[in-house]
Amino acid sequence: MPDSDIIEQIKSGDSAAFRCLFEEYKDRVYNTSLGILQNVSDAEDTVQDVFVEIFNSIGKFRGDSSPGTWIYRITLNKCFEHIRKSKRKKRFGFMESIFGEKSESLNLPDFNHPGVIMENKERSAVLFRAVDKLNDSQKSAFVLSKIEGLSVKEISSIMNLTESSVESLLHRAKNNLKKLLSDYYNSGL
Amino acid sequence: MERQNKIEDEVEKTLESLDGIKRAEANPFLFTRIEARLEKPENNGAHIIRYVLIAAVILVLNVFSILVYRSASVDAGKSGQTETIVQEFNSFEYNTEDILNGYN
Repeated sequence: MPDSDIIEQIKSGDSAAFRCLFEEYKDRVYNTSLGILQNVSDAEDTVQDVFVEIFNSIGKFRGDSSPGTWIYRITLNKCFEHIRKSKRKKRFGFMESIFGEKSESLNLPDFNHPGVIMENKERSAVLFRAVDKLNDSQKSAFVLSKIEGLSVKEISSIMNLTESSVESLLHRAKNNLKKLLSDYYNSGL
Repeated sequence: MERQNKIEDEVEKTLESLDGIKRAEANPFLFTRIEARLEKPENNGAHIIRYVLIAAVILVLNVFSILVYRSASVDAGKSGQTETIVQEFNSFEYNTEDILNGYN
């Protein structure tokens, strides 16, 4: 069934259609969130946030972009919202500790993506640490391209940029990663 | 030079470490959690209410300490005033005695 039909069915209150949309997009949303947040628990929370948002705002979806593009946009927004919330929590850490709310770390050290082949696990952990230092737009473009495997055209419609802007973002991201990794190996080797 | 080449080699290998990455699979039970969240109303105001309560407690404590401080100053002022009145009364008593003595 095409995504547009599923969307229409969800709008008319069909809960089975919502389940169908979840099954189709859950891994894409989770994989993107995992690439950006680098934490399984945070990525799972974000998947929930994304689908709750989809359900609540499906009435506003006009179909100007494809449902996939719309869902990726919500995913990126929710990921960066999660990062901002975690930073705020850290700032109010003292208050939180007084009132007994546990503060979770945003990024665990040495994140291992489950989809990376065994022989590359160690190197990819180093790369993920460098990816985490990129700015939001470079990180988004890099994750969508390298981890989600999307084309420049798809990324450009998700990020609402021209294709050349996305290419430029990816180029700058790669240069920054090279610099970060050079510094890392310079201090280690 | 050899060291620099080695570093460049390491950087390239690390950048290629995501080649062939497979998409991570989400926990299928997440849908149950999403359904549960959709069934109960969102509690977004909980954080705001907590911070408002903290601010209110701090404000009440501040007002209380200001009141305690002010009442302590008023008491100190009153006791100072009493002392002055007593002194004045004593000097009046002394003057009265002098006057009486004068008449005698």
